[in-house]
Amino acid sequence: MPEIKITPLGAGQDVGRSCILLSMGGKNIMLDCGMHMGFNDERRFPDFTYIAPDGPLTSYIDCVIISHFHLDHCGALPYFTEMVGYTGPIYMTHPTKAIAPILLEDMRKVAVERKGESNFFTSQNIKDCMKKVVAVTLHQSVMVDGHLEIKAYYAGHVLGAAMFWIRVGSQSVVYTGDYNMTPDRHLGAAWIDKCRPDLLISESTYATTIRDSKRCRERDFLKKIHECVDRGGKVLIPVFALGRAQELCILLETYWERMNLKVPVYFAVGLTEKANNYYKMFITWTNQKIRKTFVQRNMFDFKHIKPFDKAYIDNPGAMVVFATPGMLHAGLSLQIFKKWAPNENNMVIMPGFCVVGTVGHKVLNGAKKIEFENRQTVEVKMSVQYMSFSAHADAKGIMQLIQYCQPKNVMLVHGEAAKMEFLKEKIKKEFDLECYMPANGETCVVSTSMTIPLDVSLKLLKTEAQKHNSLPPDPKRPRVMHGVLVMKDSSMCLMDVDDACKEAGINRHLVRFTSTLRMEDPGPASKTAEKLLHLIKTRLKDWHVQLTEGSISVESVLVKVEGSEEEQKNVYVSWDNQDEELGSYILGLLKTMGH
Amino acid sequence: MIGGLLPVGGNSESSAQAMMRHVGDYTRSEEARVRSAAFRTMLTVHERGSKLDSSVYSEVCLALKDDYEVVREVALKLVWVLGQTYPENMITVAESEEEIRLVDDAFGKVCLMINDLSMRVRTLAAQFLGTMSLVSPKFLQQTLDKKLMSNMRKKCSAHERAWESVTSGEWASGKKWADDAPRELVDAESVSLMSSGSCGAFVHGLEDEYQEVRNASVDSLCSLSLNNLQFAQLSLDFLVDMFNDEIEDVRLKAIDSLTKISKYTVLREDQLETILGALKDFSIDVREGLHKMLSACRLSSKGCLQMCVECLLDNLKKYPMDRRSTWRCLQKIGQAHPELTLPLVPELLAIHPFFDTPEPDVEDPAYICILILVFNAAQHCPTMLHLFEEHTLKHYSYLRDTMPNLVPALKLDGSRRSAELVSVETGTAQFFDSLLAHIEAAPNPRIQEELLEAAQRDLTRLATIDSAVAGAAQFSALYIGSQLLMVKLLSNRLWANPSTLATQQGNIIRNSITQLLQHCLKLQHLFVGLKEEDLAAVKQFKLKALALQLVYIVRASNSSALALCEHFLEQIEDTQRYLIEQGLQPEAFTASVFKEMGQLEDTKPGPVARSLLPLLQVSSPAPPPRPNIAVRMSTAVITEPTGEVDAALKFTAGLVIGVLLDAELCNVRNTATLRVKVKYPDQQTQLIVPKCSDLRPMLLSDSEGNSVTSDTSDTNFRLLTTVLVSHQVWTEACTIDISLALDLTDVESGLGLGTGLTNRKGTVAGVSKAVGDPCVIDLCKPVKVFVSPKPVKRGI
Repeated sequence: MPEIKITPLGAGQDVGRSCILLSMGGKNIMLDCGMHMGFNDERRFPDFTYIAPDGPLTSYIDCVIISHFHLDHCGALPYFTEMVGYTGPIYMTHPTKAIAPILLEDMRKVAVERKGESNFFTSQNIKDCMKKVVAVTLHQSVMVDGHLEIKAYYAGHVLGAAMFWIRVGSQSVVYTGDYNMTPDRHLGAAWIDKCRPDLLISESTYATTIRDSKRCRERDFLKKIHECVDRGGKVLIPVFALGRAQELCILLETYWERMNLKVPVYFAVGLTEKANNYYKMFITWTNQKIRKTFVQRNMFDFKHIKPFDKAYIDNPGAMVVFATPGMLHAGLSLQIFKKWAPNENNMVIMPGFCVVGTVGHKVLNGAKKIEFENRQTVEVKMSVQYMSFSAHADAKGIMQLIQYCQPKNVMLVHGEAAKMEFLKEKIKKEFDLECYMPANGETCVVSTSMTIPLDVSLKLLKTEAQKHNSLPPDPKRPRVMHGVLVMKDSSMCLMDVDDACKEAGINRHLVRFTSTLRMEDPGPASKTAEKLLHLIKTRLKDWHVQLTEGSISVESVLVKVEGSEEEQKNVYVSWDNQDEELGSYILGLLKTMGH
Repeated sequence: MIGGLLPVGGNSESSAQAMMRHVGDYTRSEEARVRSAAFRTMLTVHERGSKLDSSVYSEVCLALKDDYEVVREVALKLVWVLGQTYPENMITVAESEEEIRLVDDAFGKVCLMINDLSMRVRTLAAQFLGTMSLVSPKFLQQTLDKKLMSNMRKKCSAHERAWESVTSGEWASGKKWADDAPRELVDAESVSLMSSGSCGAFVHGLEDEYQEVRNASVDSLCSLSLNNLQFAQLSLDFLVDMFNDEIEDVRLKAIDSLTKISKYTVLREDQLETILGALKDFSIDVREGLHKMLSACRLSSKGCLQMCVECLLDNLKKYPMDRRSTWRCLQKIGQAHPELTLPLVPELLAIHPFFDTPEPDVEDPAYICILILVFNAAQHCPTMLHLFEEHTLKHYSYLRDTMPNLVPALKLDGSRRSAELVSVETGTAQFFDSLLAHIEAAPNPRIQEELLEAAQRDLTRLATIDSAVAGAAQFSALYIGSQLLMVKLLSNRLWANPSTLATQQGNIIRNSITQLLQHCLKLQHLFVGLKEEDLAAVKQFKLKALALQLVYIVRASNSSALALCEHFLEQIEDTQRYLIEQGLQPEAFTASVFKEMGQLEDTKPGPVARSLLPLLQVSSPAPPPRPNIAVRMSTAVITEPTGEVDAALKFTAGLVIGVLLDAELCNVRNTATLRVKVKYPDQQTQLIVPKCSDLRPMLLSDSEGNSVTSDTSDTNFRLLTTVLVSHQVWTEACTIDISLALDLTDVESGLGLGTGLTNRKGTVAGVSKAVGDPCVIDLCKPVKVFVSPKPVKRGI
């Protein structure tokens, strides 16, 4: 039995440092190469020594596929290529290729310049790494080598996120990366065709969640901002530079347009500006509305959203500011927060999750006074709101994707073990599919059904098809093809008998079997033959049975009655080797008819 | 394959059955196109009247899971058709032994398809959902149901939370981080992630990526709600949510849908808040849609009403151009909620129990809003009248005069002006009748003429007094006026005299004839609801005018009359045909013309004119047709620009400036002839064809009670367009006239050619026309717009 082996180096029953090794049909593929944001030691990168204790990995890995630009999916890539030393091909979509280096560079800066780490990859490493990347477009089928084929599907989630379909020989796997089944303000929903892979490797961040309609959340968000702005308050929205920030910008921008508001909206520049440029460029990856509006103008050319300047913090009057980072732990957003927090007219909206220990987390938990490292305290009088805008598929979405692509097996990664357990049971119950959830480092073997590809000569196929199509289709009727299996070198093919003979230079020999039966039936031989004919005709209704010169013929089977008017008669039944089944059936029939 | 369509119909039942079985076989073909064609054949056969067997249902359902979009699409249609044809058949559900109705099962299947891969199938499914009205409520309500959970705990949706906070009385508690915290633990076994049936179909449909699907879902939701009150109440939340859609069409559709179902539902405070939020929308369509919706809906509490009024006033402040629509909206709200308005009256009108408050400005649109609301509520709630102060009553009489259609008649006790208008209404029709009877009974032509003159005056006055007979009165007045003009012309013997060609009188005659022709066109095109007799009278009169023109051209001018003559003969034939078809008797003049023309062999202008001359000389004015109350005159009212702006619109000479035009058109039959007429101070006139999309049909919302019949919806329009104005440099700002007109040049091409008075250059937009073109009929008085084209600044 052929097998598919999967070993998660990261993201197995875990979120972060996604890195999954896949080997099937003699090919080894690495899916994503992410880092863990929670660790600062060597644990942040996947354990590449698993692949080979030391030495170059290029010979062990045929290709690396990156699903999207989030660091937990691509963060370890420069380390892997430049420091561990992988030189093979890397595949990702165009937007990912464009945006990933920005994020990597940003992370590197934080790690090296702020935290003063050494032994981290350098800017040059990132550049070199990106040179090895091959960019793919959606639905473009790429042959990595003669046997390995990959194809990208739209996944929503973030700009450029893709699901990958990977095929080696007759085995195929779909790796989803992160995806989103409900469209948002700037991206569409994930889509895949019925590709029926042997294995679907799906993320399961929200394995136990079914979400409410997005509209309510958006409406709440907008209403809160509008109310705050109307009473002259300032709104602070701490965001991370990419992904949600753009969605919220679009949301706010369209709302401002609709309501004809004049209050200024600012976006702290820096990383984001660069990224916005890429969003402008990759319009084809966005949703229907943005693509349609593009005819008139690019939605990411914000009319109402202007770059922020630090001097604006103390400006009087209402304003809305997007500032990085998203958890209020440092930087501009924290600076603004300190200034604005004591005024109850102001508001802060946290659009995402906050890690324990950050100011964001404290604020969300209702802290009224926040102390900073230099003994400075800030009273929080502003209103604090939490809105979750996250772009992972929920349980329903995951089930929907499984329904769409109809895999034979499912594997869950990128989620918490307990939650996965629930979803696993559900998948087993509702789809009757085998479901796996390996932990990190645990190898999981999925056996697939054996199929042997066979070349069939065109002529043979055509004659069969002609014969088949001349009758109304009926799924019960078997489709039989008659030919010779020829094994040449390493390939096999099915050929027409005559052609095969010709090619092999052999004369065709026919083998006939003849069997004699004795039966007692008074009367002339022709009479007996007629009786037999009647019998055969009643049994073999759909066949063409005919009587010629005292012998009954069905296809190549001949039944001949000999003997005079005596009691004993010899009945010869003879048939070709290829009609063996029919012949033995008739023989059996004749044998048993007396009983 | 499609050949399978042919042998259907009256065939014997058995052969049709066999044929269907044969086609059925092909639905299992390996080729997707063949499969879809087979299903399509079934559909076509079904559409042609031969009913499909319900036994194919299970097979079709299997095809819903086909790999190919084309097959799924057709199969979906078939499922729907079967569901509609055999709603009551019972079928067993696959796993369990339970039996359910076929329509319910089909509904479930269609619901499943709303999760399909292909956008087209999803759209189709969403559309079909709306048409399956026979489905049982149990299944229907499931479509809006989506269980939420968060980390294996049950969670309330925002809607439920809103509902809870309303019922528990703690509104606006402010949301905390963990406000939507999940509550009880869900039993892992009981959760079904795959929706088995209709569960949450609409939730998915409304959240779809493509606007086509969302649109179809909204439509379906609306049409299902109309059939099922309970469902309407449930779907309200979802429709309100759609107000926040990113695409305007979808928002508009949601608003329209809500308008339709709002009769059946009562809006809660929290829902209203969301709806009113959308009032701040920049798009005028959305706002007007909302106004319409608000005027149709029912509010649950006094708080709602107050909120609603406040928001409308805010909206008015922000968008002053919404004035009229806001007024209408408040009128309806007032009518519908008198008892809710009552407690708000003191607050709204700022009445203080002890002190006299300053009198508000009656021209202030916001104040008018409130007055309209209050007066309309007071109509149904007499106690309110006692609350009004002196100045309010004064304002009432003012508004009653200026806006009779927005302010109802109130029964003010002891007031000077009770319902005097009502008494008039009964009399006008009779007065009208008797007037015309007098004319007919007139003993001699001289008296008749005098009577006609008097009648014309009276009728014109009558038209301004009573709206019910205005159309008919105007029609008759115009008819009489034209008759008089004709008589005057005929009595002046100069018209047939060649010597008058270049003289002063000749000009007068020429102008009179043009005017006469224009009157004819007005009679013919400006009125709707004309009866056959009226039309016959108009046609015959037009014939007469044409005859006069022909004779004049032949006798008294030197221009060619060939085309005109042909046109005249055509008109004769047309009129004759019309009269015969309608079985009407021609008038004396017409009859003699028919007779004369029948005898005439030569159709050259000369002989025709010669034979017409004596006929014209002896003809007498025909009596006006019997008054027909149903007649309405086409009118237009320009509401924007108002013509009261002092500041000139400045633009660079030679370039264009857009002037916003907002007008209401009533009783306009043929909108293709509608033109915006722009007249510049140099007497240059441009006719601009407005865009079709700028004309919006007005719904019956503004109907004044029952006087407007249902057919007005297709003759009443609102024109909202931008008029492009351009001119060369002027030394100072001047006014241009903008008005609306009907351009009949195309319709009456023969006439336009024949008069020889127009100089036609073409009929496309923006072509200047001679001032006196009889083919251009004004619909309203021009509005003055102050513009000033500036010379191009150089050297910037």
